[in-house]
Amino acid sequence: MRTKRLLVFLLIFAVLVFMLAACGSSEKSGDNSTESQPEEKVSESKSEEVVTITYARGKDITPATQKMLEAFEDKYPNIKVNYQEMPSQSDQQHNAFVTALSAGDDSVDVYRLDIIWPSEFASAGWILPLDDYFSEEEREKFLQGPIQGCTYNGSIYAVPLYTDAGVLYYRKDLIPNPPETWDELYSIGKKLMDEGKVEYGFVFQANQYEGLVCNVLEYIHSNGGKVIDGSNVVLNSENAIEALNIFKKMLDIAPEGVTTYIENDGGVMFQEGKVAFMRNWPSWWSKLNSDESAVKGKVGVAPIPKGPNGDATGKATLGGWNLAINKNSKNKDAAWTFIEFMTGEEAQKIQAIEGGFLPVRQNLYKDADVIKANPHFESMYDVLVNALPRPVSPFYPKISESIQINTHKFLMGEIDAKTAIENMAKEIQEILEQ
Amino acid sequence: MRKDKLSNIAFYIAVAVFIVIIVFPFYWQIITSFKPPEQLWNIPPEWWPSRFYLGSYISAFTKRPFLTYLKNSAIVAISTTALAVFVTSFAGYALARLHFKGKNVILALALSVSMFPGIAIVSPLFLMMKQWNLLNSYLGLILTYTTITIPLSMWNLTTFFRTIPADMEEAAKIDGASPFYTFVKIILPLAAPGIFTTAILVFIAAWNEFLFSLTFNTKDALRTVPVGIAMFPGEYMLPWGDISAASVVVVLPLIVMVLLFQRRIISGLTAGAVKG
Amino acid sequence: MQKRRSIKSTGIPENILGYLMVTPALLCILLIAIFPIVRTFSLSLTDMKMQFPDAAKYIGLNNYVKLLKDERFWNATCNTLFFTIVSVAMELVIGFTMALVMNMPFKGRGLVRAAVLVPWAIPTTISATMWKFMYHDQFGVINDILLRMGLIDQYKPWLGSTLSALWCAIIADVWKTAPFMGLLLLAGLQTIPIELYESATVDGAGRIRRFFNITVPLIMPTMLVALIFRTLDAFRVFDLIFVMTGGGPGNSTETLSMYAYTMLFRNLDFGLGSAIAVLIFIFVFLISLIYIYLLNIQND
Repeated sequence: MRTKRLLVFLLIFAVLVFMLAACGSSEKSGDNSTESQPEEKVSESKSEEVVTITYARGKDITPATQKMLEAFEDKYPNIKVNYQEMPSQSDQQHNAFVTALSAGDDSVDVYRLDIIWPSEFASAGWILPLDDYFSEEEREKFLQGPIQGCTYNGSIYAVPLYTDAGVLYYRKDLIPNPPETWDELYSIGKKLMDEGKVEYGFVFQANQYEGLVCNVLEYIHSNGGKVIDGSNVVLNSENAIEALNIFKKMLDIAPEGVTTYIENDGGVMFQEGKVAFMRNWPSWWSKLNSDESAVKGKVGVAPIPKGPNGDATGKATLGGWNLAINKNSKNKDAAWTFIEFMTGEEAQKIQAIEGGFLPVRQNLYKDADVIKANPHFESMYDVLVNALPRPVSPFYPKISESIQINTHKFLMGEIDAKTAIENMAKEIQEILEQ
Repeated sequence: MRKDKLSNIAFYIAVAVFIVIIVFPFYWQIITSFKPPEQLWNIPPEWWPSRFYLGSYISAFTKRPFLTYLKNSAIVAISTTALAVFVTSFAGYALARLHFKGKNVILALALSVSMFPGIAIVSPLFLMMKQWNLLNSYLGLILTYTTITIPLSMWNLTTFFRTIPADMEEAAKIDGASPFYTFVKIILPLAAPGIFTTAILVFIAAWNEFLFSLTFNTKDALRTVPVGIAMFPGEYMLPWGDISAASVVVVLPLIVMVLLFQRRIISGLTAGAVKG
Repeated sequence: MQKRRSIKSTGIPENILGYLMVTPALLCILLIAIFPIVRTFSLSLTDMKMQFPDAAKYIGLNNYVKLLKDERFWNATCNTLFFTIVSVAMELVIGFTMALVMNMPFKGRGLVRAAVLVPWAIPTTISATMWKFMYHDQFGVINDILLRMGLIDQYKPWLGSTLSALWCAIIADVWKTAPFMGLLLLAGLQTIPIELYESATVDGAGRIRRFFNITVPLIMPTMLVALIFRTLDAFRVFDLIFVMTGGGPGNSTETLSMYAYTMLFRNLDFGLGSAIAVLIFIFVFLISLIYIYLLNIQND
């Protein structure tokens, strides 16, 4: 029986060895994977002092990013960029980034962050303050809204890459002059519906998600309301309550399912010619004017309307994405060179022309090439200058969540506007105090 | 007699309706994937493509390295299956047949591991994978998937081994064979159907997993298919045709597998789930 | 039992062999699962926020106290319980019917069995997207079908109403898992000896009595095992809700896993998020205790 006993041990041993070997081979498999990506060429980098940096961003469906990277590598042959695409859903990016950064990961040098993340990431100490790299003078050449969004506790943590702001699309062929107030929008929309020219008056984003915050803040900001002033919550006001009621009124001229809509749902309906007005992001412009669109050439863009107690103009919510450097990056200087290029004029022009992204540099809104490719940009400048960021706080996600839940409950008719605003104000106060 | 015939027909109609309900969502997916873009957003939706449009499939394969995703998924799922089945058939046999203390504790431990919500362990696991240098590797995923599938396959195999008649083992033992010899030479061949079923369960679980794969493997060259599909939508736009086409491509191998091994799966389940 | 002991001498001791054989599996579990779980437990006793990881301090059971007073937590618990009970019950009834049908000899039985496996093999993230699209208030085929059948007079936003959204999720879940339940139960049915039915028929028992006196008791153990695994899965439902509704409308579909996810990854409140995860674990543990208790009664 001795042989059998031996056999037992051998087999068990084999299992353990297999597992250990598997663990040990990890480094090797890691190497294999880098070898399989020709753009890295680790071995080569040492001899020629080529630095490789990794850039992580959500997938770009336009050719813009690829072209910008090519231009960068042409100009800086000794910096190679390993472009790591992430799923485009911003939640999934956030999840993956947070997990990696909180573990002190250094595999990514440059992250592209949503405008609502820099303060959160900065307070956690995950991204590098860029005050030394990014001079005040240089910052002034940028649009100021995005710069504010990238600033936390007086330091700048990210550089705007492109910006975004809510706009009102309307059917030029049906509506000669875009409305300036929400009331006008409502009555025009209702009239066109009654006349049977469109199925619905207005579509927007009212699903329970981040987009709802962008939408509801436009009503509040455009009616003289405000969420936070300094460190005080000033949301609870008559203006804000009135704004919420205006928002709810819009449900009358919207499809019943609008409370489940994200950008795509309304966008497609507008593109099919079924709707008179749409609140959406500027990037829909090219899609609405493409060959498969039923409203090609019939689309106008206007600023967000205002409420009865608002300023001279409506206030769009600021969106957009920004570049930041991982604090643990081993190639900070190369990473900065990269950011500098990507946010510089040359790359910004490529980005605007190839991808239709809104540039972050003010002077590009007067650039002939950019305007030629995107005629609607010229009018966007005023919208962008007036656009307001969402509250800047390291606990922004919780603030956003409170706004989402209470607004959605209000739209579903479960609570009234006053309760919704009071709840939000109370919850946001608690979040800020913690 | 007439009544019998009538009830027979009613029965077949009921079965047919049932199959239609089961298969319908998948049918809809396939139809959508062949619809040309101009037809995709028609109201009311149309039940047949106006023309067979292959563009969605072409872009599914050309816009993303979909073949690489498929390869990665195959490598990870197959290795996971092999490792998990190997490890748990040992454990399952020991738990079903051998006498030693703490068996219930082990089974309970396995069960309680399977009770923990996956999202709660992602970030500590990420840390560990980083320390072991297993991020962006197949092995990291394989080890994780093996672990999360162990409870189910261990329970399954344990119950399965219990259903194998004890007579043969007893006979072998009387002939002087060691328990291990008995296991390898007599039990394993008898347990093949149960092992096979378990293997398929593990394979499907590994093939379909999303969260760990998204978090651990961030390089495109190492991504798996479910994450690959999440790469299709744009920031504000959903290319529904491409997503449908990609989903069909992912699901097809599974369906082919299930249909091919249908008898095996069912006979395995039959034998495995009999005795609690 | 005596006989087994005497056989020990033919190899290494049986108990040692037993431990050796379970070692690899245990090693995996200990290494990859237990450590993170323990860490989650310990995090749940702190006020760790990812934004300020260094400021985390031990706060005892405060997170749990906070949750027990938290309306949102109870809302999520109710949603989860409702989802679990309704979907598992429907799966059981439908699955059982399917199993009874598939256990009958008829032409095309193989086809039915094969079809039944299809939904189960599709990744949840994909099937959830599929269903979401089918439920759409404008382009959704479900509205089209119901309108053609005359059951509704206009398109409805199924996922946009607090009354129907959770039901939509339940239907998608039942579609995906009832067939699997059916197969497991079929397995149980096939082990019931036909002689039992025959002798009962001879004794004059009718169909219904045979069903309740023979089928039900004999299938009980299989059913309980199937129910354990389904209940555990249903209670932790995440992918489906995440994709279909994200917890909306008005938080009416937020389940515990969804709540935990939001706290952990969106709000980065790891203390509270971990506490929710631990509570999910405790709930699930209690549920399985009940099942195991029932199972033991059965076996005795």
